[in-house]
Amino acid sequence: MLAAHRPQLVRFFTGRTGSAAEAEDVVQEIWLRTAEPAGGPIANPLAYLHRIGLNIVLDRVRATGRRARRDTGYAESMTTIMGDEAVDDTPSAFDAVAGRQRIAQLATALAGPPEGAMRVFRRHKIDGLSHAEVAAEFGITRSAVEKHIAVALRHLRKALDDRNDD
Amino acid sequence: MDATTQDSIDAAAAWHARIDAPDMDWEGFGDWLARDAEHRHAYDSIALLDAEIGEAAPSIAALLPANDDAMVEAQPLALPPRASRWRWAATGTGGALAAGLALLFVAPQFGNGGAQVYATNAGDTRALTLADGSAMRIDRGSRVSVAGGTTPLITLANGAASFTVRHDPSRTLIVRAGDYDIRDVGTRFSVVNAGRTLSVAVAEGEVSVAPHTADGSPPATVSAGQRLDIDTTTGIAERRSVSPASVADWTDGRLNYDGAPLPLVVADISRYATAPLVVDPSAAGLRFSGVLTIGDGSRLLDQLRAVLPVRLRRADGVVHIERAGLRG
Repeated sequence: MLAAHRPQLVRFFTGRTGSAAEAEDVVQEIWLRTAEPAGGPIANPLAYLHRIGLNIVLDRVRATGRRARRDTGYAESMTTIMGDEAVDDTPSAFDAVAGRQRIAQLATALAGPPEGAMRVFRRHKIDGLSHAEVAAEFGITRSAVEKHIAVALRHLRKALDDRNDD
Repeated sequence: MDATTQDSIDAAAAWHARIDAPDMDWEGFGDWLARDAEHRHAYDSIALLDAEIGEAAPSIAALLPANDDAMVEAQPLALPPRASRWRWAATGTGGALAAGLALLFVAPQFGNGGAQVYATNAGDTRALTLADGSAMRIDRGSRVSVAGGTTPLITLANGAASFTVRHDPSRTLIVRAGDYDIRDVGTRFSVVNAGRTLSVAVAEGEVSVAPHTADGSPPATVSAGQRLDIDTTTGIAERRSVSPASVADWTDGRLNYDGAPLPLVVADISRYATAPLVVDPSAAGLRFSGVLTIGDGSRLLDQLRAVLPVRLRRADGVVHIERAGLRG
């Protein structure tokens, strides 16, 4: 399935990652993950392969972000004493509180304006309906669903960036 | 993110909203991404946010006004409910049982405050710094206890941990895994306790490995670029060379192999599996080269099956990995 699409995938992921070498790695990982796709033949293999690859890249971006966060050094302020050992209890204490705050922020932004776009977005992302199902429920086209979701995403991005700049 | 303009964000959001569309223009999207590094960063930021919301959806749903259910706490990195799995490991193998007992009985000798236990869930690694500045990183699905003192004792009940130890002649770090102790005075190494198999890989310096019940057997020295795998049921140890760069490669979410015997690969991935894995003798001679992506662990066997001639057979809650294409 992959061989025929390989050049196109390498080109796409070179653009996505900014590196031809990383694109090769990503395509190699796509191959590892898709040799036996679950649920029988894939209707649109090209889209499927691209989406798998996008997830792989995102995992890598996240791993890099986590490393960067670790290196910024907030760990020094989180030292606790366990018996005779001082332990930097970095992820648990910090992330539990930060995680709750973050989820509250996300919920606030999702409940905010613009109302129509957020309603479509919530139905898709929070309630798990497909674009087609959301379109049917709201009586709009799939393309309109996509536009609402794009609007919601950029408002969410902006709302959260503004908040974190405080 | 400051350098990312609103235009890029808008375009990234529009592309991202279309990736499930049947007529998605992948080449156009690729061209747009390639045109400017800022486009890539804008897309990172949109895709990360979207993924974050998707993963937190149940917690977010509980906070949304439309939902009148009682508020549900966002899930912090709590200790996972692993008790039953851990108990299985303990009764299944003497090594793991001994490690469990070490938690209870050994700790008071070492620290006035007793041992602190850390457990990680299936998706996250965890970094800790010990009092002397030595660093420990715990792999997914692992359980580690730390008892302090001049001779810190770290007990790896199951899973894996890697260590970067500061050189200090007055202080020896001991990592206890199953029936074995790994002693170190300043190096970088990784220990995997997968119950039946225990493995020590060294990236820098050297460590000594010996059964902690003094049975008179001399300690084995494992040097940089070496890996020692011990079958805990037979006590047979096998030494082989590894690339120092691949030691504790799980930190990056991937496992790298170059011609590794299948039982060794399975020993590594079994600590991410929900059911015990057994390599059938028919498949024990297979070798694997390549990269496995850990993720949440659920896809590891599939990745292996994709490139090796093996099939899986489930029996009594155990997954048997057999050579495919053979009778029986």
